[in-house]
Amino acid sequence: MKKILSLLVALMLALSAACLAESSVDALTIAVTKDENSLTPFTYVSSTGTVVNRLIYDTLFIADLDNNIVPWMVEDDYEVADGYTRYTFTLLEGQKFHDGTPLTTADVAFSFTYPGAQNVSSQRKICAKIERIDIADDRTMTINLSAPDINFLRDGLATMRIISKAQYESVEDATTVHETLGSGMYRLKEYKVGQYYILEAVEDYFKGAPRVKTLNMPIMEDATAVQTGLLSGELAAATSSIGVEMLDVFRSNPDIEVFASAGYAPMIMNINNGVAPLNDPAFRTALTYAVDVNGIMNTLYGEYATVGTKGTIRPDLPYSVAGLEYVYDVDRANSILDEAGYGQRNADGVRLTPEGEPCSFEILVYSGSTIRIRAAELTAHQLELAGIALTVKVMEMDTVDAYVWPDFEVSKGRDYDFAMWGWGSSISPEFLVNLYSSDFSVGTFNVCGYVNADVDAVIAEQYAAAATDGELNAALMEIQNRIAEDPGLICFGYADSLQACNVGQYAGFKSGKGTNVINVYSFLD
Amino acid sequence: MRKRILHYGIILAVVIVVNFFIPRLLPGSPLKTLVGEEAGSMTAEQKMGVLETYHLTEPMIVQFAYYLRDLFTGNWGVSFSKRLPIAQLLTSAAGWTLLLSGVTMLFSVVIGSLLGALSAVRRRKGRDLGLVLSATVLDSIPSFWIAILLLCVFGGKLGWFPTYGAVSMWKNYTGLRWLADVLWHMALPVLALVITSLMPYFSTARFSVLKTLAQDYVRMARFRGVPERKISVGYIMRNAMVPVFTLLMMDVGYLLSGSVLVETVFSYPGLGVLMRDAVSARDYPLIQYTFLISSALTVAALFAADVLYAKIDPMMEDGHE
Repeated sequence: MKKILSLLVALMLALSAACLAESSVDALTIAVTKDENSLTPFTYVSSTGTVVNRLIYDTLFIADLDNNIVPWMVEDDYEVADGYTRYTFTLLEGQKFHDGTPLTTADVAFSFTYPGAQNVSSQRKICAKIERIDIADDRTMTINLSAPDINFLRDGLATMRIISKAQYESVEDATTVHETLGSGMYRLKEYKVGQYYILEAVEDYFKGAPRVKTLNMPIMEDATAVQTGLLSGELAAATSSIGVEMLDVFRSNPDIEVFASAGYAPMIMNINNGVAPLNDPAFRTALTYAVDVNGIMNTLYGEYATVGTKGTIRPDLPYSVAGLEYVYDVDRANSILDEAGYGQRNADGVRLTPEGEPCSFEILVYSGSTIRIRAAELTAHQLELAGIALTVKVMEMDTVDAYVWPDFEVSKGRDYDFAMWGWGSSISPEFLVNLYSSDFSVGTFNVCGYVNADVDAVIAEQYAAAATDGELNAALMEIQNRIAEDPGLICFGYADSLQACNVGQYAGFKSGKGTNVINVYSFLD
Repeated sequence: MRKRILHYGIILAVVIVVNFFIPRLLPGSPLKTLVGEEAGSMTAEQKMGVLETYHLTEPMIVQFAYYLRDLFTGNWGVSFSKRLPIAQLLTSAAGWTLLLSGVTMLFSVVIGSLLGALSAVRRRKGRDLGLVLSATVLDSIPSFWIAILLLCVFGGKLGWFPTYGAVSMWKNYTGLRWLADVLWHMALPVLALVITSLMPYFSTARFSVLKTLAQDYVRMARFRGVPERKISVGYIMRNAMVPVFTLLMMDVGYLLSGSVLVETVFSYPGLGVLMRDAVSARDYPLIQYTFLISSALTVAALFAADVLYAKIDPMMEDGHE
């Protein structure tokens, strides 16, 4: 009997502990890894700011945990018409800004026009796509685009933050506004430059009160300090990821759960396609055989990454082409190089170009990224086996940017051989086009200087004219096939985002594909 | 005195000029900071438009004129990256850094000098060798490494000290409780900085005391039967401390900039972190004024040291070596 009673008590304790962890929490301390200013849509500076800003400012649509775009502020019966040029929707009832004023379609329309006139806004390109906005009433409106945009739901409606018209309409420069007034589930209660943010739950939020009443967010830029804080229990979570090498340490702590979510930020080895011999497609093709992409990713991330392919994009995206995996074959690399006229070697065993120049290059890497430095070192070692000398040159981030992407303007050229690089996200179908179009007004990310007439033709004729998802996907698949035959870079792959959270303090954290655990779903029922 | 003022005035003028050009010589552009993540998606005209707003497309000499105007009118403008007035940013951060570095310097000077003097007095004895060895070993350890070690052990593992911040951010302490909280947060950063900044004071004091011990006037004082305490304090320490004083004054510039790494590790909201952020964001105005203040403080301290030497060592006022 005693045993049964003990078991029952233990069971009740366990259940109540679980319930306590699941239920509402008064306050959580979550580290923010960068000072993101006052967190308005016009003042935050990086992707960390995007994460926290999203708790304060709402968007009409949102990516769910499976990375599908779903309605958030609007009713489910929204309408997309006229070949992706007309987007009609009705706002859900009960929405208001943090100062209590109701949120109407006038605010939404203003949110989609005002950033267009701002110098400092990442969202002004969304405004540029809009031809006209028709407001039917306080809750219903239509956004008309000047040209069909099949991606507007994701790149426009799920991205644009809704701001208060009354707050900004008389303000010429949005960056001068420091009062953070959104309509999201949290309001910014306090911000101290370089020290912390305090976010307070909006109890009458239209989707229900957030489960955590206060988010205390210290600004902590040092990774070791964040990890120490997580392990000691001072922090419940952080906006940043942990390294794979720290996994065992965190997993040994019973209060901590590590969330692994698919990453969409590729690690890429840029190749300057404009300098000899890297401008030779045969030389670049040989490189794809000489580098063990799978092996390097496995060494760096173990099982926590998706290895890249010659198609560049994540292989699990719906428009990804199968069978474009990198194959590590040094013999094949050597035979391609020999046949292409790079057979001669100097006394150090380094191949010579037909002009007699040694195939010796530099690879630029950010000093702050130990994982990319390691990737560059491993690559250098492997290329040595193919008779190519690669010197790893580690530099501060902005200095590397200045060589690879001067003034962030690809038409200004580039001054490097190789660069271990990355992009924030590859989730938009536009990514491939931006990366590979040699028309620099379209190929705004073409930092390799990639030129391929076939790819340009597919972009101009198939991609730009796509009117259905099927046509768009077919165009994107065609681009992948072409770039696999004529590689312009090497895509190592996509590291998972590993985030450690103290589930002993709060068990509501949720992660999804490409989603930071600090997301709206983690704090709502 | 007039000559001295002129001399330091020239140094300050050079500092003002150099401060303008150094950030602009750095590779990279403030564009990413100014326009956010989408810099790559903007057209060349749009980018030029942004740079024009901040006079960054003007010839260098025109930008320099703007800089001088802002400097002397006290209108230091708004930080590119923080979007707040620079004066406000500097005031907030400088207070914490001055406190952290001031306490560090106090401990470093006192402990370093005393250990240096002790080591000199016991030259070539076991304790002296131990002190020299310890000081050398500590000096060779990078401050950020010591900081991480202290953070992990005393902050993380043992939980005796907080791992971030200058105060308990989520508590509204006042009075003595607040002061105790500030000291509690400062303990590990100060310890990390003191450990790694003892050596210069230790070695200077040691060398200086050794040199003074061999002076004729010290021997003469002993011969005349002057009490040992008076010799130690009035004859040896007073003279031996002049080089330590010089070192101290030169380190005043370090007050504002020397604790960058330790501030980062402990998420301490000081000027060092502000400087680092400014450089990585290519925030020209913020770089200029943070470095200018640091440099100006060093020049002012050296000037003060020049003046104060006369009080410490009257021979210097007479123009003697």
